[in-house]
Amino acid sequence: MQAKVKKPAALVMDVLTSGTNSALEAGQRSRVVFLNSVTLAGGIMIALFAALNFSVGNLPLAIACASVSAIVFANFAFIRATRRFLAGGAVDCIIIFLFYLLLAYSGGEAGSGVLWSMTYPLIALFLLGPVWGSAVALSYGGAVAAVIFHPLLNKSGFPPLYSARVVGTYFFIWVFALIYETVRRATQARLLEAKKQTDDILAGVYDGIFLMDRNFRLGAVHSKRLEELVESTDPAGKPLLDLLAPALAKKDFDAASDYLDLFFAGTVNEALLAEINPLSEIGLNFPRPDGSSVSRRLRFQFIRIASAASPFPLMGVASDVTDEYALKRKLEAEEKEHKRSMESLFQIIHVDPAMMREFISDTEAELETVSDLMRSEESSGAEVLETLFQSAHAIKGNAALLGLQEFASKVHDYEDSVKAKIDGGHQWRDLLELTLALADIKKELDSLKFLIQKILRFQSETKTAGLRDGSLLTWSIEKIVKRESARCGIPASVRFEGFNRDSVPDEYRKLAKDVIIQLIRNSFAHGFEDKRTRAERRKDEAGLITLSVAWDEANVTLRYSDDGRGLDPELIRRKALSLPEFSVKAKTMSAGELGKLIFHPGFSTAESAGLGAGRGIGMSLVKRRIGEAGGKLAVRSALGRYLEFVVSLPIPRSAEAVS
Amino acid sequence: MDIAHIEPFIEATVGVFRDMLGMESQFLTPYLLGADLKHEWDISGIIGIAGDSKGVVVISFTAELAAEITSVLVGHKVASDDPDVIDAVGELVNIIAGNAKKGLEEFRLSISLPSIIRGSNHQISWQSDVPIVGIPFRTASGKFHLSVGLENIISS
Repeated sequence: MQAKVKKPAALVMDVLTSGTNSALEAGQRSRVVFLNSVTLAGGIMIALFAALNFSVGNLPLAIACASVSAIVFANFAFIRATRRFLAGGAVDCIIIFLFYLLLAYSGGEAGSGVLWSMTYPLIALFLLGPVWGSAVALSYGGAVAAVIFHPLLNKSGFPPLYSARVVGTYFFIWVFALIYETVRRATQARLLEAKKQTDDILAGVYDGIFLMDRNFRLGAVHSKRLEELVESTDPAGKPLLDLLAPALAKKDFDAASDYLDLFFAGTVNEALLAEINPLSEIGLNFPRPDGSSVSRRLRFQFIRIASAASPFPLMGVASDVTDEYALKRKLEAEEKEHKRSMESLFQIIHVDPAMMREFISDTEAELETVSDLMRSEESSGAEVLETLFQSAHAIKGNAALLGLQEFASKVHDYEDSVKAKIDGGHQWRDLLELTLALADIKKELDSLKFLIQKILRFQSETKTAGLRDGSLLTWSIEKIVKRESARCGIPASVRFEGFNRDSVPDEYRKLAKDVIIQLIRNSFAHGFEDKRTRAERRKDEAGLITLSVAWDEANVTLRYSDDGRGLDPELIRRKALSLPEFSVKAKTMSAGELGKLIFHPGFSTAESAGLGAGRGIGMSLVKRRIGEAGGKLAVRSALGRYLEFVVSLPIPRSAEAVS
Repeated sequence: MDIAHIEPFIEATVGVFRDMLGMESQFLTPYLLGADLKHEWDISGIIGIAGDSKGVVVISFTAELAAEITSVLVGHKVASDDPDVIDAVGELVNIIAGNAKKGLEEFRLSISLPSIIRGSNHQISWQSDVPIVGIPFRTASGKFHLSVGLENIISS
């Protein structure tokens, strides 16, 4: 309905553009407007001329003019209908060609008819372009020259020199019109290309980019994305805050309104403005016409345009940070969750960090000892392998008892590969391989250490557990027994006699722990009987381990006993007979000699090797360690009743001084 | 640490000693090198490695061996403080690095131009979270030593 009620200006525009209005780009549009203007003006003029001739009775000329006028109007209609502007232009050019030639020929007032010709190059070039326009203009120039130079056609009687000046002027006008038209076209093309690129950028860019005037109204040029971001199909000319108002909380709206005013206060610098931007990250809830709403988190940045005279002195960039924000929230939630689970994990495992720390430092010491031995040029490859094997075994035992299954099984694998090299002979390359694997274990240990330090820090932060004072040794032994008991499914307890803070000298702390760990493992693997057997033997269902320390003048003596099945000489003999090394000797060995076999490297009565026992390395490790410390080891056993190990170690100098 | 990344360096080193210097190298037991461990080396060539593995390979020599190597290369006896020693060791390490490169072609590894450090008992500060493996060798003219600290970036 509205389309029919057009304003006069719009109507004129519609007529002159053949109904294309603003659809064509500016250069082409001006050409069409010119074409239609020339056509209309010419048609009307010739029609008036025809009317004039009719009124004075000059019938032939009147008819001629009327028919030309009809042709011109037909051309106008043709242009409007087909929009073939070049063809319409060509028709116009031909008619004007003939009309101007007639004017030049007929002369008029003092031969001034020829003056009209001077506009012909402009018309031709503008309507037909440089090539066809020039061709037509030059043909016309030739025709006019023929008319004014030829004595028979030169009605006005121009002298030849005058005619030459007319032709010269015409030629100059053509040249300048051509230059003008060419430059104009090139400029037009460049502008068009630049505009196309800008349009492409604005259509493709993923941010909302826009300019604002001093009233914060948006300019007509903005990126396509802006329309989606602010839920408006035509934001041009509207104030930014009006666009955001339905989605913005009142408080934020006021803050943003005050904030934007600061941009023209002139005194506030850019950095500060960026810092206090209340729209730097803002949650918006745009209502939709269907009653639903869409939530979006936008980041607005505002930048002053440098040229002060610009009608749009402020640029805005809007980005959608909804996903970013959601991710951030999720991360925060996860971190919280992580911390909580860490806390509960800690409570569940209830690892004592002091014990862990001890494990780490012991293992580090172990690795250092091994590495020192490897480094020493006196040690043979076989010796190195044996030490690697025993150290790995000790580390594995400690790790398993602390519940570090992952680490223990890694060391277990290492032990396996060392064993393979011991049995299968080794090359230098094998040693390198083992060293590299040892480096991996060291790395693993380092990360454990890092973790434990973290737990320690966490603990001191949350204060859920304090460090235990007093005898860490007895406490960790209790822990180990408890853990091993749970692992093997055999109830057991440990009793300490004569243990106090100083009963085991510092020098022997690690040794005692290593030895006791191996002995505990031995008790569970070989000592304690199953429930039924224990009941038959009238023993408590729970196994009992007794540990005592005693000092005399020269020695500190550690006694370890369990109330398990004790050493079975016949079982040991059977096992020994199956090994080539002892098959002959074992037949005649006494019970005491057989008992000593358990300390022999590689001897185990267990059927297969696992994390707990069966390598036949634990007892030999015990003996070796004690031997290295200058101590003695004795075993006492009663079959079916108990097994006791007595370790006596010389009192170290430092402890002597104290006592 | 992947042994396949280290072996080319060992082979290149032993090969260069044998072919260029006529020195047979005897392998000694490799060991873990503590980060702060002091050693008795007087001159070291450092080769940086980047790619699937990241880290450093260091070849260290005693002053006597370095002087002996230089003597073999220049053709007359030189003292251990001779300026030629640096150049000779630099060249030697460069050749070792070049030869090792051939053995590393199948991996995505690139190795740097070696740099030389000189000074008695100089210390190398290693990256603290990577264990270092020391690989000692003995020749008739003295000892040398490979230290390897590599971190697997892409575990195979």
